[in-house]
Amino acid sequence: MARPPRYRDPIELRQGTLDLLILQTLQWGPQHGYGIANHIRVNSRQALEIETGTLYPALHRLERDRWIAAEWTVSDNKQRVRLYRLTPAGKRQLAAERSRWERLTEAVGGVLAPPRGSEA
Amino acid sequence: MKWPRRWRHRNAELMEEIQTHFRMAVADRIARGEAPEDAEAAARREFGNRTQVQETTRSMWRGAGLDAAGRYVRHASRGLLRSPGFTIAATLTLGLGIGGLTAIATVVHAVLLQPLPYPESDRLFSVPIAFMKAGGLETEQSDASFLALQRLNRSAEVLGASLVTEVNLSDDREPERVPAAKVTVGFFQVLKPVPILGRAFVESEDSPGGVPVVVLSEGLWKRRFGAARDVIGRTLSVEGSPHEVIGVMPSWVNLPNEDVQLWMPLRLDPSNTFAASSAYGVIARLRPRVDPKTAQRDFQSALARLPDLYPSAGFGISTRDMMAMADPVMVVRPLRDQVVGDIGSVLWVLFGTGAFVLLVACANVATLFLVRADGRQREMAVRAALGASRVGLLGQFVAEGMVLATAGAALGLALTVAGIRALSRGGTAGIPRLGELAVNGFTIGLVLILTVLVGLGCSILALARIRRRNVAAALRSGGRAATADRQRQRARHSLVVAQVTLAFALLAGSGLLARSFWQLRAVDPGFAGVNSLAFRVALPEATYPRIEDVARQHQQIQDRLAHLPGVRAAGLTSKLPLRPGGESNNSVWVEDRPDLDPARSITALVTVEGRYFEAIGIPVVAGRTFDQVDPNRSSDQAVVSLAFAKRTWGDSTGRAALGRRIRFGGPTWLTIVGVVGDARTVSLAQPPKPTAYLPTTSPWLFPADDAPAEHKRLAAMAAPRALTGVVEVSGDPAAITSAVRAAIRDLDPTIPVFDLMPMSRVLAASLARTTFSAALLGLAAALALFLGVIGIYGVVAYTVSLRTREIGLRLALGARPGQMATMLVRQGMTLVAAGIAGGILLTLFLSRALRALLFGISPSDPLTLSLVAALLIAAALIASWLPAYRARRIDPASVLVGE
Repeated sequence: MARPPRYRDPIELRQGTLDLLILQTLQWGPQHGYGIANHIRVNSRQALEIETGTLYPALHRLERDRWIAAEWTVSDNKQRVRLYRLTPAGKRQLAAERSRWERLTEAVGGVLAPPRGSEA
Repeated sequence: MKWPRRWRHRNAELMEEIQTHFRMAVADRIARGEAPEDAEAAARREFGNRTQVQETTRSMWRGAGLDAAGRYVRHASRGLLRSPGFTIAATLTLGLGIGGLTAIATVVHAVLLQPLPYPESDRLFSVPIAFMKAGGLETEQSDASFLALQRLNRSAEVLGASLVTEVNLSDDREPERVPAAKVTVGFFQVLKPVPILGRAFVESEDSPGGVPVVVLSEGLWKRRFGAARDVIGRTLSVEGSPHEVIGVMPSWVNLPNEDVQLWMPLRLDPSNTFAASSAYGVIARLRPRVDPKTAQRDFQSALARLPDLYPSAGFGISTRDMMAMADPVMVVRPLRDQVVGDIGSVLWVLFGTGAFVLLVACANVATLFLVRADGRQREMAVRAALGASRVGLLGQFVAEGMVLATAGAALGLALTVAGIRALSRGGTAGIPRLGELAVNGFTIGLVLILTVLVGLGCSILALARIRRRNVAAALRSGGRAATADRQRQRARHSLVVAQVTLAFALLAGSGLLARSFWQLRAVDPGFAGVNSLAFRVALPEATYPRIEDVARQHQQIQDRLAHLPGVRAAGLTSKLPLRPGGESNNSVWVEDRPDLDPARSITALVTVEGRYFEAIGIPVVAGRTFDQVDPNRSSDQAVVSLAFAKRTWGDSTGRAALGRRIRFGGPTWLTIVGVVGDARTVSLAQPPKPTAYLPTTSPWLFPADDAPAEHKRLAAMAAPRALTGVVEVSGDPAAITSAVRAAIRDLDPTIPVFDLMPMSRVLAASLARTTFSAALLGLAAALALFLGVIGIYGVVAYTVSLRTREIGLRLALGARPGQMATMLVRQGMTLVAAGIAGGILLTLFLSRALRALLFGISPSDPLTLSLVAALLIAAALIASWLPAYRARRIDPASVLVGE
């Protein structure tokens, strides 16, 4: 059976990048799916729009991999919501992903930026 | 069903989660000042396809693979139901293949692979003797060799001997005669079975003068004692004397043979042995870590000392001479081999055939799959273009394969259960341990494994082919890119040829057997017996200790029977035609032919009583029979068969034999008073043996005390306690059974009357072996024919599907539809012709194995072979005509426009 084609984001996020963003968002405390999407949109100054078709599969995948855990609670405005929180394994994963990301951006930045202090 | 419920629950939760998300988005937009309707519409737009979101999310869940598999299976089942012809053919093919193999494998497992049910059964061996001077002929041991072995061997922990016999049982119930065994104390010590009740024999019980005791089989215990727990200590009358029941053995104790119902102690007397007679089955439990080769050398050295221990072998021969004449060698063989017998190799051959048939079935189904897959190339291509992944397409194929294999396995399992039930109900049919046969974990496990293998095999074979094609090209050309891959086509063709070859050989085999059956039915058995009833009677030793008593009682029985209303003639015989046993084969001396070597003119010696010849309908050719002469029948008279007269005097009228004198071991001369027709004594297929008949009162049967030992032994063998009675009635012979029983019970209620059957049944039973083999082979042949036809159909249908476009073009260019069909049929028939040629060769090669079962027909009988060929050709014509017929209905316009 055909699997439906993947949703595309305005800025195409690689799977690992989205995971990193979700984990990073949850570092500040438990949050529901809408809240996570909102948080990412606001903090990226509207640059990163996470669509539901990408968000929920990612959340459920992270949950399956035991990096985040979910439970149902009642929110401030009396709505039943599914709150996701970081697990210890998720915290370790976040640290690893972060350092990988930092090394990557540093390396990419190094390639893109004009070489400083070189003897060109 | 926990799993689906949890799945539904999670689904509902996911829906709720997404719903909440949506509501929050709408609420936020309203809070930012949008109108509620606009907010909702915008959120919906932003949100996208909710079902798709759910589906993608679900695929992340654990166990999502199972869900997908379920979807594949549902889809595959729907697809298969849409093409019932393909589905039925494939299911039947796989079912027959799987069923056949599992049934045979279950038998092989139970009979050959399972260890014997005795403790440490790998140390159990049977010890027959082979006579090297007689071409390695294997027989049982003599009492002398067993005693020598028991005394001198060092490699066996314990040895046991058994003697197969029959005994009369009588108490307050109907007397009966049952198969029994006399065994030494060591016998059960070798096997060590745990009795259901009581115990086995102990030392004192097999020495002369021991207490009379018996051990019952489970079957006899249930039948005769209603499985009473307090049977131990009860008394059972065996051979007219009371025996104490000391134990009950479970039904799987099937030694010395399958039929044994009770065991009695065997008392061997070292002071009175008979080394020249082989009657005792010997089994041994070897010491731990003694290998059979060492044991054989050890046993052989014990045998070498036999002449020192027992100098006389009987028959006036010294043991040393006897051993020099026969050159006996001890054989040490795993007990399992003895239990299984020579059926082992037959079973392995059957197993190989079963595996081959399943392989062929798989290949056939793969071909059918291809035919179907080719028809669906466009569908596949469309799916691929719409984004179906490779995995998705693979999943669909495998799902179809698995659904078919599962349906086939269900059918196969049903066939196995039915087959095994039939096998174990149809008696042991010469195959030991079949009583233990049942569908068990092994069978189920095998079916499961086969299902997976077959399902994957069929679908992946077909898929491997699809994947070779360029999807885009297929879409563009509607199958034009699909030209026949020559190599594959050739492989498929050789497979069909092989199938036809196999089908031909099996059909020819069953055809030959069927014709043998008809030929056998046409054989004159030598007796009329249309209205005759046969039954056996046995006189217990306790009531009739002396041969004279036995003879007198037999005479009385005959008198009673003769006077029953409706009886035209009654008689008794030691040997009923077509039934085993009851005759002794002896050297004969002919007074006027001293030139004939007695040892080379072996004659069957049969005792008869009353008007036996008339009762069974054996005609008198010359002279008269005993019953027409002096009432006390005490003269030394004999009646011989026509075959005897022919062999001795070359006379086919029988008159030359009258008045001549003959003798068997001993000085007494017997005068021939009559010659009777030849009856087929052993089987319908075997020519009648030269036979001499003596009256039960013949003085020759009662040798004086000083008569030669040889005469005494022969006389004892020729005057048995168990005879077969025959009565001829005017109506239906079955109607007189109760009268016969009553008459004998009236005479002596302890005499068992058993095996009552009309002579017509005796005749039918003698055909049973041929009938059984013909039926079995016929079944295999039908299976092979079916598979062969499916194979031919598959290949032709596949060709049609490959060449649809070509055929359409030809038709458009003016070819007649009939021509197209003929072309395709011709292709199928070429394969069949090749298969038939191979089949004839295979038949000629294999029929040597069948020769023993054939009668009056040559293994290369042209009529049978041509009939089989005609049948195969007819079946193949239909199989190839069906798809060819479809091809002629191809609409050229639609094929060409379909580009």
